[in-house]
Amino acid sequence: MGSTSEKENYAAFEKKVERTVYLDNLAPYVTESVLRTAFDQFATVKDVRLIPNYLEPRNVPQCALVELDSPKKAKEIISMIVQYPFMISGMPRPVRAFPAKAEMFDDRPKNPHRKVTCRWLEPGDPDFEAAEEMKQLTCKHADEAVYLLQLQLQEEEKLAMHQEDTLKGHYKKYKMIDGIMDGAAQRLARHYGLRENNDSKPYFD
Amino acid sequence: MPQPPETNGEEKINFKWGNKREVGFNNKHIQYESFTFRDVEYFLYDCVYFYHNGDFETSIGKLVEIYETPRDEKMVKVIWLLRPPDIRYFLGDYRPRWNELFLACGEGDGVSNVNFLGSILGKCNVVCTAKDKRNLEPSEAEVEMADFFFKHCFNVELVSITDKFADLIGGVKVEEIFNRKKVKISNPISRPSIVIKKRTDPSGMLRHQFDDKAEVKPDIAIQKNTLLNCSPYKKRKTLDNMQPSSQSKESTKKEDFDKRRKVFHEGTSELRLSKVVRNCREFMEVTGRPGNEKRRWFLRPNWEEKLRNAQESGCLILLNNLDPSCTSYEVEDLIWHTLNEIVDAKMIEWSPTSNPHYGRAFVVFKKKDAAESALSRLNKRCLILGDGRVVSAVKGWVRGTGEQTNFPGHLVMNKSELHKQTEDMRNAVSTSHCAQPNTIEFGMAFGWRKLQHLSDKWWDALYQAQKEEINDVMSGLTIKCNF
Repeated sequence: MGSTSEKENYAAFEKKVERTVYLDNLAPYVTESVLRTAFDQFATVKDVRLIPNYLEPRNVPQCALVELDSPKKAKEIISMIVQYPFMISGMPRPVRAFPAKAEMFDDRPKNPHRKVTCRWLEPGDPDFEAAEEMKQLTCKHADEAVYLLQLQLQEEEKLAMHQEDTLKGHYKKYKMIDGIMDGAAQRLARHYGLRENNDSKPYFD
Repeated sequence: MPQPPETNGEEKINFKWGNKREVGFNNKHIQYESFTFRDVEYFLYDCVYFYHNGDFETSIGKLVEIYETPRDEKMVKVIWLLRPPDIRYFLGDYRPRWNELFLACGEGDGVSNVNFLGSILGKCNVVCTAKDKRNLEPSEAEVEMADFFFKHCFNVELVSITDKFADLIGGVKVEEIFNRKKVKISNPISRPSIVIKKRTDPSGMLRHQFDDKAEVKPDIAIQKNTLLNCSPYKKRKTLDNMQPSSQSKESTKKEDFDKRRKVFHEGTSELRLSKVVRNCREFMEVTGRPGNEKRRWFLRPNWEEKLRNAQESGCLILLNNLDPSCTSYEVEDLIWHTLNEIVDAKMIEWSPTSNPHYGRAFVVFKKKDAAESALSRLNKRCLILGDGRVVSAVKGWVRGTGEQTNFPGHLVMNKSELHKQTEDMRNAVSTSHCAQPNTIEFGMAFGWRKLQHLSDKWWDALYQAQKEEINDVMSGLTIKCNF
């Protein structure tokens, strides 16, 4: 059988995983080409793929996998993004980077060392009840995760609102300073016999 | 790779090499021009049927190399003529005829490979109807007679259909692949459908057929019109009523194809069911679904549309509590093995914020009934995997469409009012960059960092609690699991 080629295939895939960076907290309008240019500054980008999200609500940030030319570059970029907030297509929400894992690729090849086994449990089997309980638990856990995600989105919304207010405050301040620079500052400078300069920053001799 | 077909003692296969061509320099392969196998003479560049264990359909390929290795293995290299279902994801608007094939071309898996000579089932009459200067245009009668035709290539690199034929395909000159004079006289008596029948027909018909053919053989040169009345042909017809006659219309041919496929289908599913029932108290290893190799040749296309259509037609199921390291192919195999349904599966990608214990997968069934019965079977009974996971299934859904424009955390300022901004500052926003510590942006970014950090914490806490609950329930299982 083609098990040797399967193994080779899997080894090649594992290498690819090592040089790939996983990104999240990406805005919905980030595209593959945006990501490509964003990382071209630091390394050769071999492949970019956005991970489609079919289950969670629209306002959940996007995720993506960026394959670089070497595992070393991948590590460097991850540590850079951890150190400095990195902005893609907007601010101030920074993206996050993680080392990629095999499970993040939907077309990953089968691990040749693994075998899947299974069996049916009929009602009346000694384990049937426990199994049923487990099924319910799975559903409950999925619901819990959905709820927590909702809470998280609310928190994010709150923070965004708060920051917008802060920014508006700053903006108002700047505008006021701007106004002063345009009119009042020049008049005062003339009054006191001081020289003005072109970028309207008053300074003293 | 195909396995060398088993030869049982009763059936003595007659085999004879034809003319030798050359001996390979490096590999010491002895190349041949032709061979006789089961009383049929095959030449280089003939089209033949192959059967690989476990497949539903036969595969059709063109022989481009015939050789014997130093270890006496008889091998053939073939370029594949793909059937429309093989490339169904990539057909787009193209509606292939039922007897249309696509010549594989380009670099990569799926163009050609080496097979055991023994897996050849029989000859197949394929004509090329491509309008190409290099192609000898077939006569109407030839097209009528042919089992299949092809006029397009399927490029495995670009995964698209094209009507441009490259000069070299799979290392072979395209002139050899197009119709050549020899193809014209390809023996109409050794119609391949007869030979295929052998695999699905358990009766002793097979040997008769071969005897039959041996009789017919000297008449190869018989013209088409005389053939219609020749006696061996009639005899064969009475032997097996299901046999399609060579002059039958397309429709009857197609029916027969469908029937044959169905027979094959049912045969295998019964086999598998009985296996599952018998070994009820033990874990069964999930075996690969038929057609395994072909599935891996080409990448999957757009899932978004597929999932949405499946959701509308009620064919979508969401499986939960799979091993997160499980692959989409393994899920397809699992469904085939346990529910005897051919499905398309897609594992949902794992992310750092999803529970490391759970793997989820979308499963798209062919029909609504199939999806519903699968759902009820998975809910009434329990499918338990070797590591003690119990697969849970719910009706699948996909989130709505519609673009979302604003993104919490990206603030927009009306910068035109601040006329003091320089060119650099205006551009700075649109490119990706690291925030500098002397900006407002930097301070705000740390607000986000804090929230991201907090959210990691709460996901961890949730999953830790969930893990404990899972372990509690798992410990209640009495069967041995390697969890």
